[in-house]
Amino acid sequence: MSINELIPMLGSVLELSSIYSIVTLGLVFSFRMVGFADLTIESSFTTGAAVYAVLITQTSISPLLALALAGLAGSVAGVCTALLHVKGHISRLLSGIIMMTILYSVNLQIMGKGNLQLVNTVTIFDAVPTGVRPVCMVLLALLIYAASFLLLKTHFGYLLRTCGENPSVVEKLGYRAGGFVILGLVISNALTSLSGAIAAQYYGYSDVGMGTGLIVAVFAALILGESVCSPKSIFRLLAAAFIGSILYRLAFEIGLRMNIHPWNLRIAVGLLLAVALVLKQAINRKHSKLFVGVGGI
Amino acid sequence: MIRLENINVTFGKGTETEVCALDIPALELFEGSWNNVIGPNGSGKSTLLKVICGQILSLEGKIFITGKNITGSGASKRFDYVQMIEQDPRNNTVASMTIEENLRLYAFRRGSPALSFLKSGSVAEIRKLLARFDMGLEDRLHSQAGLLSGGQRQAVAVAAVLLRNPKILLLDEFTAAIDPKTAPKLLNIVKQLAADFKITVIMVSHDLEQVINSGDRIFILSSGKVAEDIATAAAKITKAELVAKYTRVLEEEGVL
Repeated sequence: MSINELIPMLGSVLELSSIYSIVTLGLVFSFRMVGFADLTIESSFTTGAAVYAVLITQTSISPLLALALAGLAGSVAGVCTALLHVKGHISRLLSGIIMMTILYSVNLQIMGKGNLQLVNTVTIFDAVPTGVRPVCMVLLALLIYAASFLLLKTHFGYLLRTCGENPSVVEKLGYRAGGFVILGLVISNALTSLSGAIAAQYYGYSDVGMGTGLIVAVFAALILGESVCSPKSIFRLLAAAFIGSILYRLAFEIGLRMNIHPWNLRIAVGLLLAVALVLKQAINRKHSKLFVGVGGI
Repeated sequence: MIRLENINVTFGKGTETEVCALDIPALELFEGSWNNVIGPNGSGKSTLLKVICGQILSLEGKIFITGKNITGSGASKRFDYVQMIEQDPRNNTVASMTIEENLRLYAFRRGSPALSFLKSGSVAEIRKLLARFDMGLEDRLHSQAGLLSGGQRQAVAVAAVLLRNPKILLLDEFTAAIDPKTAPKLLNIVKQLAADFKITVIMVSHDLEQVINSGDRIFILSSGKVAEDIATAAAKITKAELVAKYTRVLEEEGVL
């Protein structure tokens, strides 16, 4: 591969991984903080894309506002999943599966069809030249990561973390753990939807199937990141999520360049997740410090 | 301080497995007193603690704390003034957080701004409190709680709980998982701290030695009832006497 091919490739890897790193960040909130392996994200990612696509093609609101509303739509999905579990006492896994299924139809209703093209619409990056876009996207993702880091360093963040790691302590502090599960999923799904909306902008379309397989991909990214950057602190956990997102996308891109048949892509992704998990367990045993967040994967 | 009136907790009411877990017509615990509770398994010790901290709300009778009827208020409200240290050190602190983080977490009160940074404010008070345990914890503020020994971790839990200024402290066999050398040492420190902070303590224990040498009162529970109420503040009781009383209760219940 020549240098002329490498730079655009790295650019697109960086841009895409930054977009998807926001979903990985969502997984940190839902899975590592409140201990909820939330399958809703497979559909709430698409909800974000759908809401954004409809708003941007059918109204004249600014793309920034459309992104915010897309995030809001995702947070509603998060509330629904959390309520199924907290109030309905349905298991975490099944709550996610139920909402994922329901949202599929909701997404079709929002878009009115299975696929919505976004040709010649305004985007948040209109002002910057194409070449600088990856850098802008990385900066935007890092900004969201920084805000999340600060949030996790507040009392609220520590309570959120306690809710997943030790719910009995949350109760001793005079709170109900269920409330933090709801808030964790709200944040997680809002981030996921936001990412979906940005992805729609990047791809130039919103498709009802665009979130399929996302959960495995972000899990792979998170675990991959954690195996190279052990999450001994909140900072390192977030760093792991970001680095993992890049590594995952890089591995994916290399897989494509190695001419893996598209049919076999899922085999590659599955194997990558398995390898990352084994790697993390091996590294885990060597550490004397405890990892942050709900463990046991 | 704590007054229980006609408390009755019955599990599985109206079913074949109906069992009366607690039946206390009247009980009053005085402010700042140390109350020990012993009794065989299933005698209602844990139920008593759960009734006081609000984890069991389906009961008959009334609970008053400093004259206020709190029977209907749930655990989340009561944990503002009642705190409990459980037997398993893992239940009282968060393993991946440091000693300092655990303490600051407990120091946070509901209603304070939740978006304020956890690590703001000085550590002097925290260090001073930890120093009282004489375990070197004050120099290990950045050690993760999960890496401490059982005794150290319970000490951190006690310190954390004290930062909430509780009126009532419930100790549920809190030294049971600690080695026999550390346990009496920790108990002594907790006794001093409880006296300093004027906290009313209810300690459930299986260790008669611990019970006899500490506190103002010993309750022997049996089948949910107070079988013996021994005041030890003024008139000390010998171990032989306590063992005799306890044995009689066990015999009556058919345990022995």
